[in-house]
Amino acid sequence: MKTRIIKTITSLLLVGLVITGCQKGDLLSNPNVASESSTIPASLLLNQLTANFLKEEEPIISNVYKWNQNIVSNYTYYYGSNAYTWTNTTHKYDQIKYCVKMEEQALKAYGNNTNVYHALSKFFRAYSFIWLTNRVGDIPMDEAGNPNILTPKYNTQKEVFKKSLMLLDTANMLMGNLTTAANRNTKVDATGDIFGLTYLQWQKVINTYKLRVLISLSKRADDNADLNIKGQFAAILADATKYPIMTGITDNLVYKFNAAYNQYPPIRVGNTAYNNCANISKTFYSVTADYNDPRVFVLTTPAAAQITAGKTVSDFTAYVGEDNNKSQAAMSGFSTDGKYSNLSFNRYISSAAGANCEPYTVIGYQEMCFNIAEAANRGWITGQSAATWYLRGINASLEVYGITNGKVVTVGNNDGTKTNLGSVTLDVTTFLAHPEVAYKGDNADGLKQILTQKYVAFFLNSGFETFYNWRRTGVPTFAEGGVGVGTPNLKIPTRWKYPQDEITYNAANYKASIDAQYGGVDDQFSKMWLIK
Amino acid sequence: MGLMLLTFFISNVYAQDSRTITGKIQTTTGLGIAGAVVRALPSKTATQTDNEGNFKITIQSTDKTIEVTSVGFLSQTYTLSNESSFVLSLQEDTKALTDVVVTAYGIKREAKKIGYSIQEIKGSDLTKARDANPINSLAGKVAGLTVGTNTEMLGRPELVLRGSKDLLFVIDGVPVNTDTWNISPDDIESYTVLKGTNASAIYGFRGLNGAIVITTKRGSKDKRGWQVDVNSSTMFEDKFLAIPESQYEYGRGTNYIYSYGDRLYDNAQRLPEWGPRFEGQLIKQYNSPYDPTTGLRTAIPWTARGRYNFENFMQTGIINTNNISMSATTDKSDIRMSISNMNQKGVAPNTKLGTYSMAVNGGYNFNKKLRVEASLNFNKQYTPNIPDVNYGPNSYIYTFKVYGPADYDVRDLEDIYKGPMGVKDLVPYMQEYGRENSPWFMAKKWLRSHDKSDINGYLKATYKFTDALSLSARSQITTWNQLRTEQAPSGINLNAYTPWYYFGWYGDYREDRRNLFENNTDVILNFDKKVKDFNISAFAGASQRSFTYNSFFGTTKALAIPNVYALSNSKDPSLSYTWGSRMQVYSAFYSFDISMSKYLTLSHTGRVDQLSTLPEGSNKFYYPSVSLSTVLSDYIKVPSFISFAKLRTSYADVKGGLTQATVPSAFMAITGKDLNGGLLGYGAELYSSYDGPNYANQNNYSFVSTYNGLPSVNFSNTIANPTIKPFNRTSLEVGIDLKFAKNRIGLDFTYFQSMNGPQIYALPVAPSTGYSSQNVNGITSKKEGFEIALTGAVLKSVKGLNWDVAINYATYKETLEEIYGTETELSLNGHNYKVGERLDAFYGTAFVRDASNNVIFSGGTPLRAPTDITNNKFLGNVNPDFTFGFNNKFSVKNISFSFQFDGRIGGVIYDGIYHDGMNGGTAIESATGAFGAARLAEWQSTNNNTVAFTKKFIGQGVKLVSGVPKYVGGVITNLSELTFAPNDVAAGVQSYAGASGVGSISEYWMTDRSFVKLREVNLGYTLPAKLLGKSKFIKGATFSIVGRNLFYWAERKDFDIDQYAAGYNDSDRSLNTGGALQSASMRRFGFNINLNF
Repeated sequence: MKTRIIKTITSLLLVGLVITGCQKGDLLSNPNVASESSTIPASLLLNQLTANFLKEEEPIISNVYKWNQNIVSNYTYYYGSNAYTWTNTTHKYDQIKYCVKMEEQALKAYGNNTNVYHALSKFFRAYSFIWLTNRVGDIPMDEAGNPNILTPKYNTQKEVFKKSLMLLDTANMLMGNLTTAANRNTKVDATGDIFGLTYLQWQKVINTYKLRVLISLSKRADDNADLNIKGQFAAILADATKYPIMTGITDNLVYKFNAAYNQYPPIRVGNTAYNNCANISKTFYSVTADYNDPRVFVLTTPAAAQITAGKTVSDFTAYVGEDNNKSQAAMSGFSTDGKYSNLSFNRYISSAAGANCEPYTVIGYQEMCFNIAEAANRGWITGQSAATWYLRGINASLEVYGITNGKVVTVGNNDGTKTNLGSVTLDVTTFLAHPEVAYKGDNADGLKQILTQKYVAFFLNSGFETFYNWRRTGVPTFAEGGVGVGTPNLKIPTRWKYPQDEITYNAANYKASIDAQYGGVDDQFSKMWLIK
Repeated sequence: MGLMLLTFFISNVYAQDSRTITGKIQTTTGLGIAGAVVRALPSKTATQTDNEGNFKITIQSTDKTIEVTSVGFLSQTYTLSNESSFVLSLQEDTKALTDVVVTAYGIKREAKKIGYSIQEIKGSDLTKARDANPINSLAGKVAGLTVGTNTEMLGRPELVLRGSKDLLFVIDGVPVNTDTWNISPDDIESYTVLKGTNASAIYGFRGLNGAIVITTKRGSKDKRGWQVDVNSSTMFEDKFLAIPESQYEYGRGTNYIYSYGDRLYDNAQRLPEWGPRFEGQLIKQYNSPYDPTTGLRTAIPWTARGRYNFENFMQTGIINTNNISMSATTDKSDIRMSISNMNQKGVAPNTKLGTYSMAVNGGYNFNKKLRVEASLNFNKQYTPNIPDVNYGPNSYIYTFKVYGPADYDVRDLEDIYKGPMGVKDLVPYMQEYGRENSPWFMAKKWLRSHDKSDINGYLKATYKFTDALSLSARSQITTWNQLRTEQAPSGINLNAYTPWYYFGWYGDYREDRRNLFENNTDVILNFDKKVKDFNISAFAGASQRSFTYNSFFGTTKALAIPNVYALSNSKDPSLSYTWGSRMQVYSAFYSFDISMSKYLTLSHTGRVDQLSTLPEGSNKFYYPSVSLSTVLSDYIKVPSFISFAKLRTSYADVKGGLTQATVPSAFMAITGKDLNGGLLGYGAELYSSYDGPNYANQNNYSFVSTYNGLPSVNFSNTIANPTIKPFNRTSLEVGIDLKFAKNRIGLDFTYFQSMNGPQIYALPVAPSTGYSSQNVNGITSKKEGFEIALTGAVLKSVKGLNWDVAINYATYKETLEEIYGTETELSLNGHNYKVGERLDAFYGTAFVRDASNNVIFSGGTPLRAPTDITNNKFLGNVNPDFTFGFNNKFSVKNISFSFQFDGRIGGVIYDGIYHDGMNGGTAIESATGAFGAARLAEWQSTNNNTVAFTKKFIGQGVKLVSGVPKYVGGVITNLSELTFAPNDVAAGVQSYAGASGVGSISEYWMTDRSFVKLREVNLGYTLPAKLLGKSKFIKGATFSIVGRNLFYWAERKDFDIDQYAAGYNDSDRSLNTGGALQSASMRRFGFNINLNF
């Protein structure tokens, strides 16, 4: 009897189990993703690196361009504050992680570490480290990007630059070895590289970027012989075969927006209707409109009140900039009084893909020309004319905006309701002849002109480069001292604080580094080695 | 085998000499006692009394006595002679508390022997003044259980028990997966709330936060052997309980300027309500006469024609619920069948919700030893359209109360395709084409459907070896299938919330499918024996839990053909996401209670789980619980006014890991971004009940596409820890139960303390590692609190007035006990918490003040401290100081009246609708008081819109004249080095009320979190038996008039705080500071009819 009962119950249970069943196989691993040990095409990692090359804050018309004193927000809700209330910096160590992974996967796939992914990885590493050291000073480099070292030691800023320059040299060498007559015009990876550059173009980007890094070290060029800053700069210009550099704006590293996935930023964030919340900075007009610069007509709109008062769109005085020093409360929200100029609606706001505006330059030929001009002006290089490169830089910038002498353009209003307020015949000749524009020679005035024109060419592009150049040289004069600057002392900061999690979770190394660099105080106004 | 079974199951009852006795068991006051057990001895033949106390029993000629036992009464023996009927009165057992409650695994136990806190609610208490959601009805009834009733249709209440969310639901002894909507209240006998780990430890990690154990009704006890019950309730909603007030003095626009463009569709304006004042002046508006040849609009008077837009748009809501149940019992079997239907008509036009449920359960005693039970519950929820609520053009509250101008009349928009702006099926007729949508167009065309089928059921066999030993085997399933769709119609305005939106688009279609299946199979051996003075009750068992989940989310990227809602009908390639999981848990568990005479009851439970979600080596763990109770009054002489005194204490230790209570859409599971912030930029992310793996401790590559649709991968940001251990929670509880004045007053006091941790925590790491966090076993928080339940029969009279009161009170605090290793600060929710700090402390942006506490201004707007985490200031604790419920029940003869107040007192909450309404210029406060005066002055300064306005609002405080402030913790530390003067710099009201001014200062929007609600009122009349006496057909009839959510008291009544039950939540370490938009909460009135046949 008992056994029958047990049989009965067992059979009932079995019925239950048959309905549901035991689940076999690997239940631990997430079935929706690939595990760490999987083989992943390196191309997918290159896509991750290139698609996220720009930090969130960097694209066109973002916050950066308020701090670069290109534009001024008059309404917080849509365009944020103009205040330089920088706190803890963001970072680009995620890119280091992806470099590690890309190298790992490329080694798996190709069995060597001399392939194109390794070459590009060196560039991305250098770019990421320099990106961060520019913002804070010393940073972890040698021990960074390793999940087994949770408290990486800091390298000095000098070491970071030295090692990054070496990485760039290696990247150039690897790319040089990989570039052949047959593939020089072939894209390195059609789906992985969102910039769509060829082998030769990538090599050019690497060297052009290296020129930017070297010139950014101008304050330390004389007292750090071991860095050989001038020598490295000269070496690049001396050997175009070994160190190809950009030869025109078609070589630029540009981020292209597209309507379906990566919309032009003002459109993406729904700010098409709020173009009137962003005014043009007075700082910008003081070196453009004041110098009869034709870029004014193409990039910006005249102040509505000036047109109402009878001025024509071709009158430079109809273009009025807002002062970055002013508090937002003192500005006219939505610029309803029409006193100030805005970005050209036709150019910047009218297309979701940014079809009517210049592509967003990350590293460009126009900047390179000014960097070479600066090196020549400073006497770092011989056989190169600062005047020539200065003019090349201006012309390249004009070319980016499609400006040619005598071209007729129409000027619209700031909200797109009137696309044609009148037309202007662009006069490049008069502009180039303007006493403040015509090169004054290889002296301090000439240098100031080079830096000023570089600032103009950086309008709404190249991220924080405008700020870094201003920080290094003080050119052009930025508005500061007013409430609008927003810092306690109303001065523009010179750096960011370290990332909060770096402060908290790498405390000992952080503390040692802050003590060594800034006497123990991590604040926004200290001067790092680079600009001392 | 089948034949064998059949032979085995058929058993015979041998007939002997017997006769039948009838009778009645009653109280000393003559009321019938239902459910008393009447047993003939020595034959042990037994029966139970019916609802009126009547019984009928067949006794053997050998039987000498009748023993009658009933819970709450002293047992009594009646010596038989030759009578055929007798009446017996039982003495109330005033000394013992012999209530029987349902505990874990559906085991019924005497309340006096339980060593942990538990509270039971009868199902019948919740079926009258009902809520569309059955669980909402538990609000205010249980000390320590907070029910955050949700104001949204199909919104899930936030249940918080002693500060923890994610409670386990157990129906008839088996865990079920529930959204709280798939429970039919009419089928429920009782709800038992197991408060915390101690009571629910036997359920393992799923019982971590406590459990709600539901016992469903079974076969009838009626003497006829059958019973039919009908319950019907109808409720109406047409009065707002908590709603933001709006100004109707100014219309849309900005800086006092507005004009509709000279075109058919003005889609470039996304304007707030900071436009011109309504003075009848001529302004071009959406319904201005439009001349298609000249392309010009004619200006028309600017008036507040839409002052009552919200009221004019919303309708009376109706909730109608009907249930019929039939139950029958024979000596061998019992069966109950029930069918329920709930229909809700929402207050927003064209919204409705239906639920339909069917329950069948039955048991059959094959013989005295073998009993088989089966139960099957089917529940269906269906709606063609429910509203969505969040900050965006998809929600009514946004349309009416954030950007709600009075410059249009909503009734004019009811003809949704009215010309010339409207084009049938393509372009709606709207008040604007920039920011908002026409409410009527949304109601009729922007549809969100929901369809869910739930099935849970089990088959169980119990075999009694002896009276003391039985074995049961059970296999249970809980499964559901859900489809949600959303149709965004052609021409609907989405601003630029989604990248593929363009003005004049043809709309979008989304589909969210989820499917969960879970099986629990267990075998339990039960032992129950009284050996002399020891009473041993024990069980041991093993179970297997098998779990699978699959989900799909798809969306078009703009429709190609308008009004065809299919994923294939996509302009750009549609997007689809799938996510699934599987899990297996093997468990073994035991429980035993030993009662030592009248002195002590010791209970001990233990459980071992093996989880497939944890790596080998750390995937098996044991959790014990032990409890002790003693009824002092049973063996110590206590003062006579104390009729009962019990002490109890318990301890439990529970572990678990890498599972999560809820699951979001496949889109979010894959991308990590919610629907609102990620893909379409609108729509609230839906979290479903889940209890499955979260895969949070694995390094992996996942698919992502960041640029132009090209494929890419993400690698984990959290460093997996191969040696991770399960999390741990220990809990200690001490309590005392006292009864006074012959049990008329009861006091139940519980103190508890739990150590929650070390948890499995993603501890941040230095970003220079390339990662953002590493999984560690870290963070322990300590929860400490107490609960009081007080019950009293204030008045008690058979024929006169009865008054019963039940009061409950609960409070707790949660503090940080330990972080990890040598860490001294925990960076969480905008603050670096130190050990010992309350984890519900909210830190945010605050005003900067001078030595006299004046607000400091700079350039006309409040000065701001630097925005890093260290400068956030303490703005209050978000958990309430205490929660309470106050129930009153009066009855005179057949009339009963009851009402309940409950609420939560203390704490702060961020008033999001206030903030948004001020930014939008709609909130009443933007046009009254100092703001109102300045706003009027600014408007007047425009000289009827001929010049730009002059700023008029001067914030009260001081302005910084000189010096450079230094900050620590958001406070200026060098005030002595600074000079101030009274603020005299004017700002514009619009700018000041918005992000440039107070908009970005959280302190300004904090309000008291306290509220009290008159939750329910119930006036009932039961037809006297006399009236029904003639018709044997109806056995009972009760009619009630009911009300829910009748009054609401709070500092600010522009939103209903009730919904925000959770403050700090230790499961996901989030801090609920409130702030989201919600639908206006409603008062509800109705009636209920309950009939028994």
